[in-house]
Amino acid sequence: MNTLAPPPDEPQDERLSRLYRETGAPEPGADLDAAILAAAHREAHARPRLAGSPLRRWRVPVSIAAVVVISASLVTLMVEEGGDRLNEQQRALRESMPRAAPAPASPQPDQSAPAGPAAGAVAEPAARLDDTRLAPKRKDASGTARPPSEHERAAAAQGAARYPSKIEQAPAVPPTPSTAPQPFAAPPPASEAARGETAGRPAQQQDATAPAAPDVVLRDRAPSDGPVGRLQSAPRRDLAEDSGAPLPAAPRARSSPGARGVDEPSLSRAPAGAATEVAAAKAAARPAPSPRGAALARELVDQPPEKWLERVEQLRREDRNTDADELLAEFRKRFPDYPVPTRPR
Amino acid sequence: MLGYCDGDAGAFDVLYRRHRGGLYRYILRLCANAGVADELFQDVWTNLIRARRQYRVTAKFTTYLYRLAHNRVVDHFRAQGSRMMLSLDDDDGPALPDPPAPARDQPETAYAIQQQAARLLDALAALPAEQREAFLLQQEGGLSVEEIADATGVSRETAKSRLRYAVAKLRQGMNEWQ
Repeated sequence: MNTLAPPPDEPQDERLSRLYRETGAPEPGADLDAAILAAAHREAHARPRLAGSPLRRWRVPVSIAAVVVISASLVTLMVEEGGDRLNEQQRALRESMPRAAPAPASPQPDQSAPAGPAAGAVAEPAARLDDTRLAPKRKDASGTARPPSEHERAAAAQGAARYPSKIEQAPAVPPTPSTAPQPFAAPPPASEAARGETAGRPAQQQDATAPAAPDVVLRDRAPSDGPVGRLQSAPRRDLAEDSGAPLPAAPRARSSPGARGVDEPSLSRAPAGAATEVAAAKAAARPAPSPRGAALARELVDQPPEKWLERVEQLRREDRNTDADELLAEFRKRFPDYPVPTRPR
Repeated sequence: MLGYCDGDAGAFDVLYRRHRGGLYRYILRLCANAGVADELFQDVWTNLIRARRQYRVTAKFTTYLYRLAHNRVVDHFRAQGSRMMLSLDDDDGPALPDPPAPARDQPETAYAIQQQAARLLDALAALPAEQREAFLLQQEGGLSVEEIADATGVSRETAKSRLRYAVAKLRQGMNEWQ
């Protein structure tokens, strides 16, 4: 009950207040009092236990510390991964820079194609080939140890196709003898020297000089030969490949499924022993080759399969792709079981 | 209350004994139902216990306690669908019910006082809810006009007007009875 005197401006009637106090004082029951007091005591006793819990006391600082540590770890991890990725990209770019250097003359549309992220992956077998058979050629051709770039090779091949007279005087990649026992590095036979004079001439000109009938026959047969036909459809690329250059990233070739032939064994794994004799024996039972292929094959009739392949490569280097395809077709007929090395693309 | 917030259960006992009667009568005479009053009374104290960690000394504890009670009563009436809070326009509404016939020649004995108190309770029950609440807060809680305004969430002038209307109507009813 209010016993204090109210402020003068407050509505207050002392007689009403006195009379109201006479109205009685109903109070809550004892059970209600007990329930409320019990709840209050229960909560009051529970509070110190909760306050004294070390987990409760250190919950906020530990949470903040955990968040800071996790955030720092994530940032560090992201920075490291980003740095590694950047280093890889820089390394790949650095490796591809010499190859991607602009050609001195007659740039081609294909040169503008980006190397792509798969450049390193595709360049790996090419590098293997460089180590085995192509490195000596490069050194001999350029006179320096610097590996020729892909654009330089392509430009050389392009130049050979566009300016046959200059190429005849100085072939883009002349066949050079190699001290290493590599199949493609052997010098060509003497009988092929005359054919080498036509190196650098376009395929159309070579076809014009060749007999007409066999050429038509071989052209009709070329697509059925799988990789050979496909190779014939891309002479410029073959020229660049035949120049001994390891193909660059070449994502274009991998992206087109039809551009890749059957899975052929690698050149470095080509056996040259008893399998050769067996293949020759099988080839003896085959029908006679085509006239032009037979003419080419006659020169190599006593030669081992390696010589055949060397001759094919030589023809390709001389831009005589049609002859190379025909000879390769004859080779396949004579040595059907001999693994033809995969040409890097 | 601060002692109870620090874990002193005895401080709560003191608070409870000090305010239990007035708070209970405040609720009882607003609701006019003993069962509902018990329920709301327990809810108010339970809410106080639960909200003790959020308690800040911004006003007198009595004001804080009656604010909790006011909110709980308002929630109860809203849940019941009845309208507790009438507008002040109703202050000039229906007149108080006619008091019983006065005992003109009766001396001021204890019996007469009890009769007057009963008459006062009847007049109080006939008041609009806002005015009744203002009068109960003044009589049971001892709150000033400012504290009544704080507890009920209205302005000081509104609280003062409600209280003035309540006193005037009760006085009028008691005079008519006499």
